[in-house]
Amino acid sequence: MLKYALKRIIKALITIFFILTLVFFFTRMSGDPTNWILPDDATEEQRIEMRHSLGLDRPLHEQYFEVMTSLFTGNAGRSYNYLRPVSELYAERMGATIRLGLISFSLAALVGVSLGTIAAVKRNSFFDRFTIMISIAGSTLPNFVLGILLVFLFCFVLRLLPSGGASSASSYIMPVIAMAVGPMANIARLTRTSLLDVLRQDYLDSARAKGVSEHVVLIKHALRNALIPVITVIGLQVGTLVGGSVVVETVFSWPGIGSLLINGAKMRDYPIVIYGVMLISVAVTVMNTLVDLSYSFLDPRIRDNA
Amino acid sequence: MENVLTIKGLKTYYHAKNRVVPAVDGVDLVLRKGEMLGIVGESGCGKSTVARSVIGLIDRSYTEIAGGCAMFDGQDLLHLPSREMNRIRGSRISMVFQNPLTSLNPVYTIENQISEVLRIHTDLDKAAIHARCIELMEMVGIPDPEARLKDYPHQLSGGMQQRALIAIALACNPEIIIADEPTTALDVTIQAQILQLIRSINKEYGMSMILITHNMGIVAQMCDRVMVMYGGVCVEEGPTERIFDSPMHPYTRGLLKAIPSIASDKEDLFSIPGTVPRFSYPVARCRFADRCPYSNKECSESEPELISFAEDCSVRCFRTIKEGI
Ligand SMILES: Nc1ncnc2c1ncn2[C@@H]1O[C@H](COP(=O)(O)OP(=O)(O)OP(=O)(O)O)[C@@H](O)[C@H]1O
Ligand SMILES: [Mg+2]
Repeated sequence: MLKYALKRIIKALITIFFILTLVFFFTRMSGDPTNWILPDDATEEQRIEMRHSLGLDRPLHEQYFEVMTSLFTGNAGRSYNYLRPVSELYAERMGATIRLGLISFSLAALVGVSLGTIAAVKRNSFFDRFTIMISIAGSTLPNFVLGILLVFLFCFVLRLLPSGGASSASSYIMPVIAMAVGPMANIARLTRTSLLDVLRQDYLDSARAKGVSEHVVLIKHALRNALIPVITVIGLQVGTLVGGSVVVETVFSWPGIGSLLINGAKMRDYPIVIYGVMLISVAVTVMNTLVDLSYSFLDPRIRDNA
Repeated sequence: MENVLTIKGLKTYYHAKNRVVPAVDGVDLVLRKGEMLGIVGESGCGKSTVARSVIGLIDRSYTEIAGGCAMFDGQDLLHLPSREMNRIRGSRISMVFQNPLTSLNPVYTIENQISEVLRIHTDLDKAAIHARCIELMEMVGIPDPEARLKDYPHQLSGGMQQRALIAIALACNPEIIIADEPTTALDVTIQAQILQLIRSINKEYGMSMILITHNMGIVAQMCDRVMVMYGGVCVEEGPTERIFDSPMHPYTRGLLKAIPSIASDKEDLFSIPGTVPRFSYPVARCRFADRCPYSNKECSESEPELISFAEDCSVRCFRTIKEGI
């Protein structure tokens, strides 16, 4: 088990290393940051001086080496535009993103599992068909489209909700919906399929033959098994959710790390981009590893093989 | 002897797509205290459906109890509210299923699954439940019970899994245990051990048992009385000895001839020609007529009654009845 966990962690580190390398080269190819830092009428000399002070005139491999070592030593440099350490900028905005992510994620898991369960138990009913329809719609609709539709409906037509920011409780409603619907749809669909399969299993009849009441059969015996594959998907959805938060935060001007990252990219603020990407990849890999480990914890048959 | 279970005219119909399958179509059966009653017949003749109807393990959304009653301790099991039924299941009537691997929940330990039934039906405390689990494991012959209780189902062999399921069935000292082909999924050598265990439980604790099987050899070895089923009805019934010495129904004779014996030549292995047909409701003919070597016009025009011809003995066949016993 420990060896398995260790292997996973090493694999994750290698993945992150590759991602950061890619991002480093992409940023350097993406254009000259001085176009955004300096006023439009800045002279060529001023630009050269600026590039020199940012270290951008040094050979690429030197820059690469410096960026990578600084990331792994925790000193990620300063933002070109905000003129502050990027770690500080991200730390300030981390809370808003985590709050939004956790709320959306819990909602997606809770509603998704419930819908899927009811649909499977009442198979072929109206509710079942309705759930299938919603989950297909929900998983095909991109979250930014949904976000824009929501803004249009609730802000411009109904004038009920603020269109952006995180100033009040009601400003959570739309970003949460935009983020939760996709994962929720996937979780609902998978819970339904998985539970339908489990509901045919012999061990449920064994439980009933013991005198276990029907709702305990459903929750303790059926759902416990049906959720094993669902957990994997929920884990993968965490990745989608993190990616989605970048888009959704931009649509709703949410003061989190997603919008910081996008702004950084727009202004070719290399340190912001590379640090943001690192944070997100670490978060996603940590979540995936946790899910993977919990999976083998939930299923005793896997536990033995690991 | 006292009857612990009396089934009269049980009819269980499956409603399949635009078709009604009369899986059990009027079955009478009594189970006496302490006896081992066999229900035997080919695959698809309705044996499991009888058992499942009695213990209420049928899905009412497509299964209809079209008639009859199953009296147990003054109550009709066929029409009991689910709450009452849950109180009886596992504590007074329990069941052992065909496939031990799939009948145990893969994510819970053996101890969890045995103690569940004790937690539901008794008010024993934790320590007492654990002690009872150990005792049960010993009763069903699982070595090193303390360690095995912590195992998950996949860590046990098929035979041990079935023993664990028998332990669950035994846990609350039920009056009746129904075993539905309990050895079909096991190796031959293991089969003999499990049958022996079932036999000893029946003898030692005086538990009344229904043993469902398609194997006449098992019936000979195990049962006091037998009911032979075909096409959802009982075609012959009687004490095991009588059935083996002088089988009346052509179907029973076929089943007996089909028992492979070591003495007989390999090439002689007999099987009843044809397969169990799928009956649609209503059936107004002898169900065995198509495969019966003696069938005549009468057999395909009306259904013979189940006629009792001696104490505990009855048969459902025009020819046998007419030609005298
Ligand atoms: N859910 C169902 N829907 C429709 N028909 C069914 C259903 N379950 C069983 N049947 C039919 O009912 C008949 C009796 O089935 P049952 O399982 O009771 O037979 P069995 O004697 O136990 O057979 P086996 O030896 O294979 O276990 C069979 O013809 C079967 O095809
Ligand atoms: Mg069966």
